Amino acid sequence: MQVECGRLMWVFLPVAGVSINFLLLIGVGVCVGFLSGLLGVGGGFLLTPILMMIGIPPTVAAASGSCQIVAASSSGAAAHFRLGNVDPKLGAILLLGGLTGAATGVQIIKYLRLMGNADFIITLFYIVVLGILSGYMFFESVRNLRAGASRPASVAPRFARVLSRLPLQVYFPHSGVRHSVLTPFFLCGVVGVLAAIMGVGGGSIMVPVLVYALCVPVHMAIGTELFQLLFTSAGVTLMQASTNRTVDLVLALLLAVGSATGAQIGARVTRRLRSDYLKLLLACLVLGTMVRMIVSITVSPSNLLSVVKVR
Amino acid sequence: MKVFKKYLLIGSCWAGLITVGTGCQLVAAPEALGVRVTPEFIAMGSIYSTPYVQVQGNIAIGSKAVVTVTGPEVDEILQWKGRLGPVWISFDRVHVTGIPSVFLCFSGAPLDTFLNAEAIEEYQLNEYAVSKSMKCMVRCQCRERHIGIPAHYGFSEARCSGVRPTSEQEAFIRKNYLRLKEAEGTYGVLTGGVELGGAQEGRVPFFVRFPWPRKAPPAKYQVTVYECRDWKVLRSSSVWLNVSSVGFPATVEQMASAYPSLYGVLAVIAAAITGFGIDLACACLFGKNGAIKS
Repeated sequence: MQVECGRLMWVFLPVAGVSINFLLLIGVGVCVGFLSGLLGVGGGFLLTPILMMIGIPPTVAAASGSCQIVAASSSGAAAHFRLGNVDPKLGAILLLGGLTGAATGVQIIKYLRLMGNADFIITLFYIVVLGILSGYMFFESVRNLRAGASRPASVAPRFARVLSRLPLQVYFPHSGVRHSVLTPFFLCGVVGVLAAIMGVGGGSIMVPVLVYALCVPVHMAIGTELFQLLFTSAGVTLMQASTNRTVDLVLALLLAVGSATGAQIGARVTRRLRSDYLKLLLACLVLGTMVRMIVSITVSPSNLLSVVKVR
Repeated sequence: MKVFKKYLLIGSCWAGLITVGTGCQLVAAPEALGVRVTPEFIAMGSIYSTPYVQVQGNIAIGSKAVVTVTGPEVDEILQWKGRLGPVWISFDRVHVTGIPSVFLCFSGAPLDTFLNAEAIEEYQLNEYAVSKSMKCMVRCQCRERHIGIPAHYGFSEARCSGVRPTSEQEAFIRKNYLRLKEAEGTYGVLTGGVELGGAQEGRVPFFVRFPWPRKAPPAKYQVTVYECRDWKVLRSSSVWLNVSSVGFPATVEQMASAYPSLYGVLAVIAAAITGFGIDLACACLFGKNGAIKS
């Protein structure tokens, strides 16, 4: 009977072609969804390696992960929307910028691949970007926490002057900031290019960019980024399913149940945390990602061959 | 009667000579070795955990049994990592075909203690012998979606955009490929896996019981039993083990490959419904701002 009960907990993932304990998948989903709801990141950079570790082929892990982000971001964005943490006007501009950037990034990566060791250069560049962002966020939040009062983020005066002279100035009432439409569009475009090149959602870069470059309050940045992420991840899932046929619906739905629940918890915890704590947590997460990337390129792999795609 | 016996003797000699001359393998009907595989069909349904497979049969007293399980040929693209200064980077893509997706071999004792090297190689009874059938191309630029499309649909190994590896590269790929397969549990040689029972009427029953590899894909697998004696294979017989996805996983698998765009749309809708549904449920349970309803 005990064996039968144990057997009932295993599910077969048809596209991945392996069977996995479903409680494990839901647990992984809850952890990733919690981070998503808490910090506005998609969690793809965390989820893909975990899925690979438990035996899912890399291509299926990445594609199904993007489908799972649809669930986590829709759940998180809805919860943040209800809490008043989503700026739809800013989100729409970010979405347009992100999609333009992602399309450009896909073209850029084709040329970079032809240059040879592009992967190495891109990884190094990404590590430097993550290092600068996380380092700045970490020290700023620690300083504020020590001082006992958080200072609102402000743009450097010279940079602010340049931004205020740009055309198409619009007031974003939910975020309480005034910017040219071009600023979020361009910044999100750059993040979109980086995200497409690195194959990640870009949430871990976008939230700090919104906070430090556009002076959007942290809670608002997290909610708005989740809103944008919902549409981007939906697009990625569609492309992965139609081009590579690597989206495993069973895997994605099991992860989605966990991550959507985790995102709800995360969104509610966000409301109760001071923005400096949120920045500190996000800084630690981004630092962790950076360390993981450094480890992945410096530690000798157990096997120099790895499967990319199998019939 | 004498004439009849004479012709029978001559006929038998000719049959023997032809068999040896053509070098054909000594394949017997499954009933000759009494080979039976249990279960004969593995259904990969929604709730599926890898079952135990049992192979049984009987061999003559003094013979040894070797049992192999082989899957259909693979068509895989691999990433090859290399060192550039202090870091590891992906520097090549390798296209591998012509080697079985699964190869498991079970014997009662190390193969080289009762079979000669020629027999092991001829009947492909160890991983090294199996890997000799591998065909690989380096610098492969084939797109992932072309993998697995049969030749008559416009793609085949021969049309791979890559180049043939050097002999050193090929040896390196072969060695690491086997290690990769061993690590995922689809390749392995298990000495001591064949257990023998008590002799009955000049025959000895044998059986092998092993957990089905978790990463073995749905396919038709060949289970072969070799009866060995005097350093060679006396005869062999094969049965098929069918592994197939059924029910919901089969529908999903079929839809993902036959209607990829529709499948993608459904996947997004299902994920979004899950997300918004759980948000709605949480809002009803814990209130709009996270406070628990009294």
